[in-house]
Amino acid sequence: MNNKHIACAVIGGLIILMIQWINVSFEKLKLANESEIISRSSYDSAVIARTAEQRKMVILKRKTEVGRRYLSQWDPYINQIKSAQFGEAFINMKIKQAKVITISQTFDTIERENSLAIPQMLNVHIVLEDDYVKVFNWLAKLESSVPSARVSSCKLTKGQSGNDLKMDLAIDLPIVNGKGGKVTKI
Amino acid sequence: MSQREKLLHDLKTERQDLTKPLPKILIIVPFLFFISLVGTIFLNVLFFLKIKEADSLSADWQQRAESEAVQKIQTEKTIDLIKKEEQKAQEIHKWVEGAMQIQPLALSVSRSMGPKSSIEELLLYREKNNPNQILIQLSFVNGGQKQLDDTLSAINAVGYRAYSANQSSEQGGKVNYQATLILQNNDSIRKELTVNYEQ
Repeated sequence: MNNKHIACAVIGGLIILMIQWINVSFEKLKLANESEIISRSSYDSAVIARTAEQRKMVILKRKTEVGRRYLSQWDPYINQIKSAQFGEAFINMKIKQAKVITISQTFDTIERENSLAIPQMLNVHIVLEDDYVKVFNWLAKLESSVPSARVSSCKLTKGQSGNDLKMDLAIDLPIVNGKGGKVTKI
Repeated sequence: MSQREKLLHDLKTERQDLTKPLPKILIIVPFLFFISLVGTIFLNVLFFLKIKEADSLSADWQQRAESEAVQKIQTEKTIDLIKKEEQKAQEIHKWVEGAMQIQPLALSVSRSMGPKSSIEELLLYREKNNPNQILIQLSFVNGGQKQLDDTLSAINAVGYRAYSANQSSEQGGKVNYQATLILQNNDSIRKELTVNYEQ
């Protein structure tokens, strides 16, 4: 093998190397194209998933429209009593305004388990004794001023004199942002 | 011969090739080399540009996919909120159903009493599990069955219907009455009354 053969072999080797380089670059291009296709298909599936979720949301919104409207209508009344202290003050104010004779009153904050909308309630136990009309009017005014108040028990008996009526009431007031107060678990 | 050529001739004199010349076909090798060189440069530049383009497109699709995923997560959060609102609405509906005013009922019972009858005790209470139902315990003296019928009519007039009723009479004209009251739809009462009237 002389120098000319070696030169030819070197040039031939260089040609092979260049072809190999082209091949490597082409493989890289193929990979890049495949990666682009994968990215595009992942985008397509993301669009499908997002569209499905949005459709689900629209259907759910339509389905729950009545309920949500009901919630927004009642929300101000449910949120009326901000705290147990506010509830106590509110009831006391109502009694003072009506000048009804109160025999006894107790307040107890009760925690409602597994309740999302009304986590706490203020249980008010009042015994009133006054004129029949006055007592009924007081109850009517209280119930209309706090529409979300629930009278869980109402016991009426004769009062000590003439037209008097004794009213033993248990009222539950919903507390949404309950803070403080004596808490009893139920 | 010029002076210069003469000098070169002195340095490198004419001589015979030591080795055999290569076959003529191998004249193609330098041509192939130059073609390969040009082709390699051209194709590699082309591939490089194409790879860049594909990479940028790939990054663009990925970014778009991520944005879609973010939107999907936001939608999921909204769905959760809607579901929570619905749950809250149901809970509040249940609460409100059990928070119907009791004063009109108590007042109608007390007003239904005739001049000779009087209430000894009236207890209205809601069960914890079914607060929309009201349990009534009424004790009154004088008036008997007619008074009880009047009271039940008064209860019906304010939209309640009694069921699971129990009544007992004691000596001295005392009547004890117990029942569960369920709020009726006033429209249905009106419809029933109209139908009865027409018949």
